[in-house]
Amino acid sequence: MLRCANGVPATPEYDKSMLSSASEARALAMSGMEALRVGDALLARETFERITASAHADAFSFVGLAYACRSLRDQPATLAAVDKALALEPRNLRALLLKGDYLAESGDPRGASSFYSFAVQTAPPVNQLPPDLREDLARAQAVYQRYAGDFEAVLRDKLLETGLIDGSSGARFRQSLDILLGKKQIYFQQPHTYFFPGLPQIQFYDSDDFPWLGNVEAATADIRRELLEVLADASAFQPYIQGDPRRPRKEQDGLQDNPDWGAFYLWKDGEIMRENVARCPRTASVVADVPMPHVKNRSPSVLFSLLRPGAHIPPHTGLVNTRLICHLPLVVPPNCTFRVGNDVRVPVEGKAWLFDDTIEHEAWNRSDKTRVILLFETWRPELSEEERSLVSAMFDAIDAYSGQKPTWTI
Amino acid sequence: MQMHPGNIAEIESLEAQAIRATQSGREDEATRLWSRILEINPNHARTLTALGQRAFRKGDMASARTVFQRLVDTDGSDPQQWLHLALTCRNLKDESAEESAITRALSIDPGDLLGLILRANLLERQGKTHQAARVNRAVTRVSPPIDRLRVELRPAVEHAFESTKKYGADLAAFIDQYLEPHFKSLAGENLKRFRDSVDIMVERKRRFDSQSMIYHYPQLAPIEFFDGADFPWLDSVEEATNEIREEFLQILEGEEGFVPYISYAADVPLNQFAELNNSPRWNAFHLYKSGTLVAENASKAPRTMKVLEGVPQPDQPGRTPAAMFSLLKPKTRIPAHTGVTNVRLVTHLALIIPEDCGFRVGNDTRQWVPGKAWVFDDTIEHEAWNNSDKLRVVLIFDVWHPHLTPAERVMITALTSGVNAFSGGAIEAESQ
Repeated sequence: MLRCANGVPATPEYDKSMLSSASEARALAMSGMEALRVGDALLARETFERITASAHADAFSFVGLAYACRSLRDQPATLAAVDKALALEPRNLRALLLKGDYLAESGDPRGASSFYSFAVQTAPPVNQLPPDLREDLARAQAVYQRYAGDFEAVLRDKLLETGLIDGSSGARFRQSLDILLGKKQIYFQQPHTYFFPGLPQIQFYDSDDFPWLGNVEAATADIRRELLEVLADASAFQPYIQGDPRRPRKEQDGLQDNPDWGAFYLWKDGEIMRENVARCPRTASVVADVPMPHVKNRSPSVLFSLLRPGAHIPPHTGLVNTRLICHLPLVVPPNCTFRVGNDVRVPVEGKAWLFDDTIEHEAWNRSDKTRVILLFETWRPELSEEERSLVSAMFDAIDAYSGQKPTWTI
Repeated sequence: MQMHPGNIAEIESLEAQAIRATQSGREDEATRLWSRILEINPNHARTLTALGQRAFRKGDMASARTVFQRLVDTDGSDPQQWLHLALTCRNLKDESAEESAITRALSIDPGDLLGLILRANLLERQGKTHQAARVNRAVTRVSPPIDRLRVELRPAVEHAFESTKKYGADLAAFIDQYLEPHFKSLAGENLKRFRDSVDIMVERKRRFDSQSMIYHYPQLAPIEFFDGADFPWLDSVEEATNEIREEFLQILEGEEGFVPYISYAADVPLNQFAELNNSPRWNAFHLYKSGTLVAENASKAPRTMKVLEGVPQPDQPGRTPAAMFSLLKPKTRIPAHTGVTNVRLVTHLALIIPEDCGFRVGNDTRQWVPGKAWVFDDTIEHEAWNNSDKLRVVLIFDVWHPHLTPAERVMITALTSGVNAFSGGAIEAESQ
């Protein structure tokens, strides 16, 4: 019996036929593949061993050898060949799957799963794979998913023992767990205009961080009354994002000039809309107590935001991460949802939330009625007074330098 | 206008002949052929384009303009048609016609590279610096990489890159000057975050996020070097520097217990550390390794172990705590890399520091000072170097991220135990 584990030719016959050139090795590899294809594992093994024993040994020939040894049910030789292949090419897809198979057969599902998962992660798109590899990869994925399910069950049991997981202190932790288990992805702030570093990346904030929020929520009925009067006037709302034909359309395509998403401004880009405020005095006085950023030509904006039946605001990110956006839902039909990063929530009339709009977010109104919220901005609570004044001063500097009004939209 | 199929075939044939005639320099014949096409279809777009371009090349701008104007009046669906007209108007020094033709082109395709180049050029001629800067920036964004760009457009795009860079530098200088009095009035405040934000905006610095290789904990602020105030135990560590160094020097004399800092098996991908894998250039003397006390080593450093007792080290069975003396050999660089998890931070206590050593985390590059410790987030890209010809030694240990609550720490410990319970033991050795 030939031995292929150590990569040394086992019989003198091979010494006489040492490979002289790379092209000879390639030709040999092709004939080895052909032997595998027609099911002559013994010949395939001999063929690939000649290559692996030569100076032309490569991951491909070790993988071929491993397939042959596996067909011959020579487990130790299969493993040795696979390990050689992986040492040469740690990302070789066939070798990763072979190693996973080997570990699965030898009763090490954890080890098998780690190779399968690495194979699934590093594999090119399925349509670029040969058919046999597609099947192997699908099988690996299934095993990995089953394993991941078991993994999660064990983890949950273990975590329940602490008695802490469902407490409020667990929200951040539960998110970390979902990320670890591959059920959620990490979202980062992606402001278009200005990034302030060192801030925690928080999708929805805890309402307790905002002492003024209670007053806003308490005024819901009054604010809604004012809104309903405005709504009676069909022309009051304008498209939320209006395009400038002299500027390239931004990547927020689908938002610009979209009448499905309407706005009625009390403040717009730092400027008070006196006529509109006169129509909604109570709303204006409620938001007057909110710590809103005041930046010339930019902030604050306060508006009723209207989403028509069936409308979808596609995923987008905001301009600066020095502010948060507050939504106070006023008229909410069923089947409205709002996603920020990996957190999807359902708006409830009178319950406000604050979120970081530089994290990718989107909104749906899947009902047949119009949805309206009060929307305004507030300084991020992590910023000191000094930092807030410097951010304002910096934008003043930018405007002073360019001598023009910025394009600025929430 | 509905064309008869026979006419279409005839036009195609005439067009092919005209192109051939042009290519072999038979200009008169080409002109005759183009004219015949226009007799059949006076608005034939390709013919008008060819005639306009020919007039343009000959320098007959008036004719070129007439033809291109007819082209956009009868068709006008392609930005290129408007840009031909714009270029012609530019040569005729008719700025307002040039401007409106550019606007029409960009209204059809706001990302048209040539359209943006022409608009930037016009704005520059008009002395509209700031508007020109915006458009030049747009040029840099829509342009393919220079080496894949049409050769005749390269100078214009290169110019846009240079202008964008210069404008950015001018803006940065202006902002610095503008903010100077504000900084003066806020002297003594910690404004590092804000200064970094300006630097990132004007592209003097890069943005760095926390990138945990294995376990990311959300909502923690990604801070490069932490403020010492978060770590009340830090002083006692620094105060023990001399004793800790004494212990280390004894150990060094014994020459035992040192292992390569990075030691992965051959079949593991070495994304970050290929060069230093199993290399004695970066050695460690482990006190706690992957959550386990290395008793033999620890017994040689009793005072150091005593100091570590007062530190809130993480507890992740099979993973943390970690503590070691880290030895970086002369002329050695640890390449930029990111760590395993942001639930813990990493402390360095500088023990033996030759000249020409440095350490960078994200945007912040610092020098070790013997007897001084710092705490950094190792999931932010960091690197270290020893350019001297002497050994550099640092005591390294991890600590819980200070913003994790006690309950969260309990959960994280339980999570690690759960992972171990499932896999029947600790999994892959981790590295810092």
